[in-house]
Amino acid sequence: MTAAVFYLLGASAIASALLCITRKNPVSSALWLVSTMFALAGIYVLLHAQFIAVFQVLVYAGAVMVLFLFVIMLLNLGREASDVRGKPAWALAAAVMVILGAQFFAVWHYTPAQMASEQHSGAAVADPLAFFPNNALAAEAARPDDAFGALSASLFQNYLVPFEITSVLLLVAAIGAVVLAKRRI
Amino acid sequence: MQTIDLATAGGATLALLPEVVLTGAALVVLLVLSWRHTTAEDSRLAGYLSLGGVGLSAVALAYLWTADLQPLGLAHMIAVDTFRYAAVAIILIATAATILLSLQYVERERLLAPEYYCLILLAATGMMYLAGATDLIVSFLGLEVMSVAVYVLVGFNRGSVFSAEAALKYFLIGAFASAFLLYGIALIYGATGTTNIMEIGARLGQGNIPVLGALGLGLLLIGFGFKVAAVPFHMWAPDVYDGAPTPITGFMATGVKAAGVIALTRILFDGFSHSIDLWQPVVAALAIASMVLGNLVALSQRSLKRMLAYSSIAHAGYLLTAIWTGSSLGAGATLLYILAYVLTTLATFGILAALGRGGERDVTLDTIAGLGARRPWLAFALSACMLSLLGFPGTLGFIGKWTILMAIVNQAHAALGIILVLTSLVSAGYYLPVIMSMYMKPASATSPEGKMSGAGIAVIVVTVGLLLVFGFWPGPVLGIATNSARVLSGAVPSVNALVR
Repeated sequence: MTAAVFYLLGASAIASALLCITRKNPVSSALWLVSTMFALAGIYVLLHAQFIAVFQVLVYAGAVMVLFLFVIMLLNLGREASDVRGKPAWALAAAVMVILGAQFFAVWHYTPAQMASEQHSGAAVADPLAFFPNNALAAEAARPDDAFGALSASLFQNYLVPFEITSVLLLVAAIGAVVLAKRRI
Repeated sequence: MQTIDLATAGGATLALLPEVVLTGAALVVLLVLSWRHTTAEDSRLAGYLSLGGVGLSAVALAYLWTADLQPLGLAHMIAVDTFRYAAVAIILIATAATILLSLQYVERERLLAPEYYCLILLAATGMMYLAGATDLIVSFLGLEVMSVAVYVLVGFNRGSVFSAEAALKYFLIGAFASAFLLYGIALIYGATGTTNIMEIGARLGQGNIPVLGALGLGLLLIGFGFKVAAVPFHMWAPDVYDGAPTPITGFMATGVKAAGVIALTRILFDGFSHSIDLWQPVVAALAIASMVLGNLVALSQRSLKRMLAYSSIAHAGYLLTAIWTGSSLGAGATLLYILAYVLTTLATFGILAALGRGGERDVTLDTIAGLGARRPWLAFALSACMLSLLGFPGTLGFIGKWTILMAIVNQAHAALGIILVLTSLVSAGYYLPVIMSMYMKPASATSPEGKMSGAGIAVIVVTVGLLLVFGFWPGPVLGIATNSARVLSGAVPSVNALVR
């Protein structure tokens, strides 16, 4: 199972990386880079490095890529190729939406207690010993309540309200940048 | 009575219902305008949707106010009390009026990007967070959401050099002020180990405040001084008020100032109530400088927009006087005065937007000459506003100034009160010529028509009506203001030991 997931993610990472450097349109190239980042994040999860995985998504796939995309859009590069229109693209968008919706409902019913029990039974993730020959490192990676747990408790319980306001702040800054800097609004 | 646990996601959402609803409305507007983006029709649609969002948020606020919620333990991140509800109500009034006044204005000035309304809504949520925060982190984030949105709104007229100049000035000064504020918060955290305002108050305790905390408090006061445009941190205000689109000038003069003053009140009263001897002289100095300088410089202004900018500096001084008292009476006076000032200023800028063209930089006393004969109702409304700003009996402005004076007298400290009265007398020197020009001077050929849309007329009728009704019959608002402010009892008792 784990091996299958690993090969799936690996293939997706390589394919996305290839597409990233072969696309003509800079926007789609950047979006394929996002896809590569996500696949890498998945591989980090398999390695029990959830902390790195989350920051891979937050920082690389999130912040850095949004910055890339904004610069590309503001500079109006790559007008000639627009490959996100047309019937196939809509069908693809609908399929992705259905998958994401299904995931949302799965997560909705997925309680922390369930996650903890799965972690202890070792059903969901790979055996760290397979990846870390050194026993001490493996034990560290398999510890259920690591720095990540402490961080997420802080971020999503004590500081939930400031965390959400920060996202609104970023949204305001993004809208403002577009309104003031785009040539044609 | 119902207790809610603000540390849980559900409790926090319930407590933040008006803010959450308004943010949701802003997102809906953003979504709609992504494919309805070009014509005047689309802009108007965004305006109506935003107005609907403000209405829903007001409903959420009314629910919270009547539900009588109590936080479990210390209010975590956001206050759940009537002082916050009253502040949010004032901010929602300012937002709704700004949107209504903008409907005609953006079409006339060709500012047709509907993001305008989205930014107004997001700025309003920032103000609400700032006014209701019980944690300095939330204060700072609310301040930034509000400021970033307003920087953009000030520069929204991209064809105008003055608008761009104003936006850049406001942005640079605002970033500067934010840095002061943030450093102040960091030092206060260093001194107390917490950013929760109530806990800061508890930990600073009765004894001497540590040097670190005192430094932090000073930087905090500088940061807020910039935001509410108090002398000597006022240099940006005239140019920025002058260059911004007029409804946005009104929004800045009312919403931004109200949120800043209310946040400052809460921080000083709840967080630093034991250090009152430390901040009272500073606040008094800021208040006196603002009242004197604002009123004197306003005397020499020709442009009405610049005159109102200096008058708003003077009003920041009056508000700081109310904060100076440190009593819950003073907090009530602050709320009431903000209400009076917000209503009056919104109506004034609404009328100003109707009288001018191209940013209203050129509306002077000569432009409005003879308005009394041609547009008697408009002239009457502007006269009522000027008298209310002056604090003339029969208007809400008078009730506001009177409650501030009562709060000062209650502290047995006459000097500030005398300065307040004297500077108010000086302000007659620039408010009354507006009325004289409208009624006693002949109209010139270039006089503006002063056409107003139905929405604009509605705003002015309602605000001026409220000014006069509450001016003659202040009981209800006075009661709400004093009751709302009673929760800030961390401040000194009504008669404190100032006279030693």
